[in-house]
Amino acid sequence: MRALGPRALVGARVRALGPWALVGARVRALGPRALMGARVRALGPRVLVGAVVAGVVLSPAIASACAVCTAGRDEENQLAFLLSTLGMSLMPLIAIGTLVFVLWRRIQKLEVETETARTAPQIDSRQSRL
Amino acid sequence: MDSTAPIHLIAREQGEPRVISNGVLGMVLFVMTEIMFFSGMISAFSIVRASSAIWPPPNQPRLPLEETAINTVALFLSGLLLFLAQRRFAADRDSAKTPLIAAIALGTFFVAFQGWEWVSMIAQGLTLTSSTLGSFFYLIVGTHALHAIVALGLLTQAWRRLSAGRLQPSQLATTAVFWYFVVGAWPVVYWRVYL
Repeated sequence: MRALGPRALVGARVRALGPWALVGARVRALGPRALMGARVRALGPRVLVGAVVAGVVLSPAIASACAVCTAGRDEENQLAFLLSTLGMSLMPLIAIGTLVFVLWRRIQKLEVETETARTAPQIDSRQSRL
Repeated sequence: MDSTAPIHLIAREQGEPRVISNGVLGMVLFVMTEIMFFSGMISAFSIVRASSAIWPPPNQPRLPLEETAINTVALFLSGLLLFLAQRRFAADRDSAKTPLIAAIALGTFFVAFQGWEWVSMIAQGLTLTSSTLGSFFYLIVGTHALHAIVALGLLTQAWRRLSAGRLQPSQLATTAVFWYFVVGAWPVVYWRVYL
């Protein structure tokens, strides 16, 4: 009992549930989606995405919160910040995209070579029979 | 070809089919992280330079543009010779020795010449702590030089294995990827730091 500490005050089943023991069984079954109403749950994640996009588009002043973008001493400084941010954001996408593209091309090439190698002996054996 | 058919891979390495060798893939992933590392440093340098009221900082020696341009050509030649060595290796392994050793020699010249330039600039007053230019210069160019030294070590090891007749194509390719990164990163460093 002492080893359990305050958790000794609750039963074993409740301990097994952890924090979820504080809510009812139906809510537990829903999981985090229990925080939304039934209609919203029915629409699914599209509602959340739409709400976020709408919030960003309708509130451009949010961008002013970025100290990097707006705190530049002058235009040259701001441009340096923005170009650096843009470059650093695009760099991993370009790098991984290039790798994926190269691997995809290589697989295509190997598939063609395999098919050629598989059909070539068949052609040769057919020709020898003629 | 049936899109549901399994991919039959011809390329085999040590008996196992490969689209790309493990070494090359691992080196490519490592190079990607190094690209981000250099991007971060060059971005920081660009922002500091744009934020400075006076650039370059006063009382600092001018960076050696012309000598470094010659050095850049030597590095490019080194990359070309390594490419030639790879091509020759595919056809006749022994014929790759000469271009490979020439690539190593040019790479070593590049690093040594950079070191000599550093010594002369330090003597003229551009040090790690003399100004932001000095700090970023030695940081960025020094990091590149460190990569070049490690790559030269790998190339030398490849040449030794080639001489002993034990060099695998994937081993040469893995080393070559790293050297191509060193050669490819240098023009960006030269453009952003020196010019």
